[in-house]
Amino acid sequence: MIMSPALRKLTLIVHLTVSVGWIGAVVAYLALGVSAVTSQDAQMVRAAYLALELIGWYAIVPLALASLLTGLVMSLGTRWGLFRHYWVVISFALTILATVVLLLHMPDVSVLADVAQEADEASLGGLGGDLFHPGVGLLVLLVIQALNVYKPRGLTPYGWRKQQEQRREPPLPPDPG
Amino acid sequence: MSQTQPDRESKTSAPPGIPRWLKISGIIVIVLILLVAIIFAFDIGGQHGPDQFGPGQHGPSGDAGGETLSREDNTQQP
Repeated sequence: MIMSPALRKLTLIVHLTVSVGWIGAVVAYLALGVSAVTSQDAQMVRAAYLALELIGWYAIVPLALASLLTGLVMSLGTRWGLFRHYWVVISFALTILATVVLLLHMPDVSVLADVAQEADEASLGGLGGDLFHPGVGLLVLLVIQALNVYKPRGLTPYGWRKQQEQRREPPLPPDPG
Repeated sequence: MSQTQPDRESKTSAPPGIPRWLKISGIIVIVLILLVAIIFAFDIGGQHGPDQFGPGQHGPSGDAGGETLSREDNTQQP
Protein backbone atom coordinates (compact mmCIF):
# COMPACT_ATOMS: atom_id res chain seq x y z
CA MET A 1 0.00 0.00 0.00
CA ILE A 2 1.47 3.33 -1.05
CA MET A 3 1.13 6.08 1.55
CA SER A 4 -0.37 9.45 0.78
CA PRO A 5 2.22 12.26 0.43
CA ALA A 6 1.21 13.81 3.77
CA LEU A 7 1.49 10.50 5.64
CA ARG A 8 4.75 9.71 3.86
CA LYS A 9 6.27 13.02 4.99
CA LEU A 10 5.09 12.50 8.56
CA THR A 11 6.58 8.99 8.63
CA LEU A 12 9.79 10.30 7.06
CA ILE A 13 10.12 13.00 9.76
CA VAL A 14 9.69 10.40 12.51
CA HIS A 15 12.10 7.99 10.80
CA LEU A 16 14.79 10.64 10.34
CA THR A 17 14.37 11.89 13.90
CA VAL A 18 14.70 8.50 15.57
CA SER A 19 17.48 7.31 13.22
CA VAL A 20 19.67 10.38 13.70
CA GLY A 21 18.75 10.31 17.41
CA TRP A 22 20.04 6.71 17.56
CA ILE A 23 23.39 7.85 16.16
CA GLY A 24 23.52 10.75 18.63
CA ALA A 25 22.70 8.49 21.56
CA VAL A 26 25.48 6.09 20.56
CA VAL A 27 27.93 9.01 20.39
CA ALA A 28 26.87 10.04 23.92
CA TYR A 29 27.26 6.39 25.02
CA LEU A 30 30.77 6.33 23.58
CA ALA A 31 31.67 9.55 25.40
CA LEU A 32 30.52 8.00 28.68
CA GLY A 33 32.33 4.77 27.81
CA VAL A 34 35.60 6.63 27.27
CA SER A 35 35.07 8.43 30.58
CA ALA A 36 34.47 5.10 32.35
CA VAL A 37 37.76 3.76 31.04
CA THR A 38 39.97 6.82 31.39
CA SER A 39 38.75 8.66 34.47
CA GLN A 40 40.80 8.38 37.66
CA ASP A 41 37.85 9.41 39.82
CA ALA A 42 36.08 6.30 41.20
CA GLN A 43 32.79 8.14 41.63
CA MET A 44 32.95 9.32 38.04
CA VAL A 45 33.66 5.78 36.82
CA ARG A 46 30.73 4.34 38.79
CA ALA A 47 28.43 7.11 37.54
CA ALA A 48 29.58 6.54 33.97
CA TYR A 49 28.81 2.80 34.10
CA LEU A 50 25.40 3.53 35.61
CA ALA A 51 24.73 6.11 32.90
CA LEU A 52 25.76 3.61 30.21
CA GLU A 53 23.04 1.27 31.41
CA LEU A 54 20.42 4.03 31.54
CA ILE A 55 21.26 5.57 28.18
CA GLY A 56 21.36 2.09 26.65
CA TRP A 57 18.00 0.86 27.87
CA TYR A 58 16.06 4.13 27.85
CA ALA A 59 17.49 5.94 24.81
CA ILE A 60 19.36 3.64 22.43
CA VAL A 61 17.06 0.60 22.56
CA PRO A 62 13.80 2.57 22.02
CA LEU A 63 15.40 4.64 19.26
CA ALA A 64 16.73 1.50 17.55
CA LEU A 65 13.34 -0.23 17.65
CA ALA A 66 11.59 2.93 16.43
CA SER A 67 14.10 3.33 13.61
CA LEU A 68 13.62 -0.28 12.53
CA LEU A 69 9.82 0.02 12.62
CA THR A 70 9.60 3.37 10.82
CA GLY A 71 12.15 2.19 8.24
CA LEU A 72 9.96 -0.84 7.56
CA VAL A 73 6.89 1.38 7.19
CA MET A 74 8.77 3.79 4.91
CA SER A 75 9.94 1.05 2.58
CA LEU A 76 6.68 -0.85 2.41
CA GLY A 77 4.60 2.33 2.18
CA THR A 78 6.49 3.84 -0.75
CA ARG A 79 7.44 2.67 -4.24
CA TRP A 80 10.96 1.87 -3.05
CA GLY A 81 9.70 -1.38 -1.53
CA LEU A 82 11.65 -3.55 0.89
CA PHE A 83 13.29 -6.03 -1.50
CA ARG A 84 13.37 -4.12 -4.79
CA HIS A 85 16.64 -2.19 -4.39
CA TYR A 86 19.90 -3.50 -3.01
CA TRP A 87 20.52 -0.39 -0.90
CA VAL A 88 17.15 -0.84 0.88
CA VAL A 89 17.82 -4.54 1.51
CA ILE A 90 21.32 -3.86 2.86
CA SER A 91 20.07 -0.97 5.03
CA PHE A 92 17.30 -3.11 6.46
CA ALA A 93 19.63 -6.07 7.11
CA LEU A 94 22.20 -3.84 8.84
CA THR A 95 19.49 -2.21 10.96
CA ILE A 96 18.19 -5.62 12.06
CA LEU A 97 21.75 -6.77 12.80
CA ALA A 98 22.53 -3.64 14.84
CA THR A 99 19.26 -3.94 16.78
CA VAL A 100 19.71 -7.65 17.55
CA VAL A 101 23.32 -7.18 18.69
CA LEU A 102 22.19 -4.22 20.83
CA LEU A 103 19.43 -6.25 22.50
CA LEU A 104 21.81 -9.16 23.12
CA HIS A 105 24.52 -6.85 24.48
CA MET A 106 22.44 -4.70 26.85
CA PRO A 107 22.12 -7.39 29.58
CA ASP A 108 25.96 -7.43 29.68
CA VAL A 109 25.91 -3.66 30.18
CA SER A 110 23.49 -4.08 33.09
CA VAL A 111 25.83 -6.65 34.67
CA LEU A 112 28.74 -4.27 34.13
CA ALA A 113 26.83 -1.42 35.81
CA ASP A 114 25.89 -3.64 38.77
CA VAL A 115 29.49 -4.79 39.22
CA ALA A 116 30.78 -1.21 38.98
CA GLN A 117 28.42 -0.10 41.75
CA GLU A 118 29.84 -2.71 44.12
CA ALA A 119 33.46 -2.90 43.04
CA ASP A 120 36.15 -1.21 45.07
CA GLU A 121 38.39 1.43 43.60
CA ALA A 122 41.18 -1.01 42.73
CA SER A 123 38.95 -3.32 40.69
CA LEU A 124 37.06 -0.57 38.86
CA GLY A 125 39.92 -0.17 36.42
CA GLY A 126 39.79 -3.86 35.54
CA LEU A 127 36.22 -3.81 34.28
CA GLY A 128 37.39 -3.20 30.75
CA GLY A 129 34.77 -0.67 29.73
CA ASP A 130 32.42 -0.97 26.78
CA LEU A 131 33.83 0.66 23.67
CA PHE A 132 33.97 -2.15 21.10
CA HIS A 133 30.23 -2.67 20.61
CA PRO A 134 29.23 1.01 20.44
CA GLY A 135 32.25 1.78 18.24
CA VAL A 136 31.39 -0.88 15.66
CA GLY A 137 27.70 -0.04 16.06
CA LEU A 138 28.35 3.60 15.24
CA LEU A 139 30.24 2.59 12.09
CA VAL A 140 27.32 0.41 11.00
CA LEU A 141 24.85 3.24 11.63
CA LEU A 142 26.96 5.64 9.58
CA VAL A 143 27.05 3.13 6.71
CA ILE A 144 23.25 2.85 6.88
CA GLN A 145 22.95 6.63 6.88
CA ALA A 146 25.24 6.93 3.84
CA LEU A 147 23.23 4.28 1.98
CA ASN A 148 20.00 6.13 2.75
CA VAL A 149 21.39 9.44 1.49
CA TYR A 150 23.22 8.22 -1.65
CA LYS A 151 20.71 5.51 -2.55
CA PRO A 152 23.16 3.75 -4.90
CA ARG A 153 21.66 2.18 -8.01
CA GLY A 154 20.93 -1.51 -8.28
CA LEU A 155 17.69 -3.43 -8.67
CA THR A 156 17.34 -6.85 -7.13
CA PRO A 157 16.02 -9.63 -9.42
CA TYR A 158 12.70 -9.29 -7.58
CA GLY A 159 12.68 -5.52 -8.09
CA TRP A 160 13.50 -5.97 -11.77
CA ARG A 161 10.60 -8.43 -12.24
CA LYS A 162 8.22 -6.04 -10.50
CA GLN A 163 9.41 -3.21 -12.71
CA GLN A 164 8.85 -5.30 -15.84
CA GLU A 165 5.36 -6.23 -14.65
CA GLN A 166 4.46 -2.61 -14.09
CA ARG A 167 5.67 -1.68 -17.57
CA ARG A 168 3.53 -4.40 -19.12
CA GLU A 169 0.40 -3.19 -17.34
CA PRO A 170 -1.85 -1.03 -19.55
CA PRO A 171 -1.79 2.64 -18.62
CA LEU A 172 -4.63 3.93 -16.51
CA PRO A 173 -7.45 5.68 -18.38
CA PRO A 174 -7.33 9.45 -18.21
CA ASP A 175 -9.02 11.07 -15.29
CA PRO A 176 -12.54 12.07 -16.41
CA GLY A 177 -12.32 15.25 -14.38
CA MET B 1 25.53 6.89 -8.47
CA SER B 2 22.56 8.17 -6.54
CA GLN B 3 18.93 8.54 -7.37
CA THR B 4 15.93 10.23 -5.87
CA GLN B 5 13.17 8.31 -7.61
CA PRO B 6 12.81 4.54 -7.34
CA ASP B 7 11.91 3.63 -10.93
CA ARG B 8 14.54 5.39 -12.99
CA GLU B 9 16.81 2.48 -13.74
CA SER B 10 17.22 -0.79 -15.63
CA LYS B 11 15.50 -0.12 -18.91
CA THR B 12 17.16 -3.23 -20.41
CA SER B 13 15.29 -6.49 -21.00
CA ALA B 14 17.88 -8.63 -19.19
CA PRO B 15 17.80 -8.97 -15.41
CA PRO B 16 20.46 -6.79 -13.79
CA GLY B 17 23.51 -8.28 -12.13
CA ILE B 18 24.91 -7.39 -8.72
CA PRO B 19 26.04 -3.74 -8.81
CA ARG B 20 29.73 -2.94 -8.50
CA TRP B 21 29.34 -0.95 -5.26
CA LEU B 22 27.80 -4.00 -3.62
CA LYS B 23 30.58 -6.33 -4.80
CA ILE B 24 33.27 -3.99 -3.46
CA SER B 25 31.42 -3.54 -0.16
CA GLY B 26 31.00 -7.30 0.13
CA ILE B 27 34.73 -7.87 -0.30
CA ILE B 28 35.50 -5.24 2.36
CA VAL B 29 33.00 -6.81 4.78
CA ILE B 30 34.43 -10.31 4.23
CA VAL B 31 37.95 -9.03 4.91
CA LEU B 32 36.77 -7.29 8.10
CA ILE B 33 34.95 -10.42 9.29
CA LEU B 34 38.09 -12.48 8.70
CA LEU B 35 40.15 -9.96 10.66
CA VAL B 36 37.71 -10.06 13.59
CA ALA B 37 37.67 -13.87 13.44
CA ILE B 38 41.47 -13.93 13.60
CA ILE B 39 41.44 -11.50 16.53
CA PHE B 40 39.03 -13.69 18.47
CA ALA B 41 40.66 -16.97 17.41
CA PHE B 42 44.02 -15.87 18.77
CA ASP B 43 42.42 -14.11 21.75
CA ILE B 44 44.06 -10.80 20.82
CA GLY B 45 41.10 -8.80 22.16
CA GLY B 46 41.11 -10.47 25.56
CA GLN B 47 38.16 -12.06 27.33
CA HIS B 48 34.79 -11.19 25.85
CA GLY B 49 31.16 -11.44 26.96
CA PRO B 50 29.37 -11.48 30.30
CA ASP B 51 31.80 -14.00 31.80
CA GLN B 52 34.41 -11.29 32.05
CA PHE B 53 32.38 -9.84 34.95
CA GLY B 54 31.85 -13.23 36.55
CA PRO B 55 33.03 -14.65 39.85
CA GLY B 56 36.59 -14.00 40.72
CA GLN B 57 37.09 -11.48 37.96
CA HIS B 58 36.40 -8.25 39.75
CA GLY B 59 37.20 -8.68 43.40
CA PRO B 60 40.70 -8.64 44.81
CA SER B 61 39.76 -11.47 47.17
CA GLY B 62 38.22 -13.48 44.31
CA ASP B 63 34.84 -13.95 46.03
CA ALA B 64 31.76 -14.37 43.87
CA GLY B 65 30.08 -11.10 44.70
CA GLY B 66 33.19 -9.02 45.05
CA GLU B 67 33.73 -6.87 48.06
CA THR B 68 30.50 -5.05 48.70
CA LEU B 69 31.12 -1.55 49.83
CA SER B 70 29.08 0.23 52.42
CA ARG B 71 27.62 3.65 51.66
CA GLU B 72 30.41 5.24 53.66
CA ASP B 73 33.03 3.38 51.66
CA ASN B 74 31.50 4.60 48.41
CA THR B 75 31.68 8.21 49.45
CA GLN B 76 34.92 9.76 48.40
CA GLN B 77 36.69 11.92 50.91
CA PRO B 78 37.67 15.34 49.64
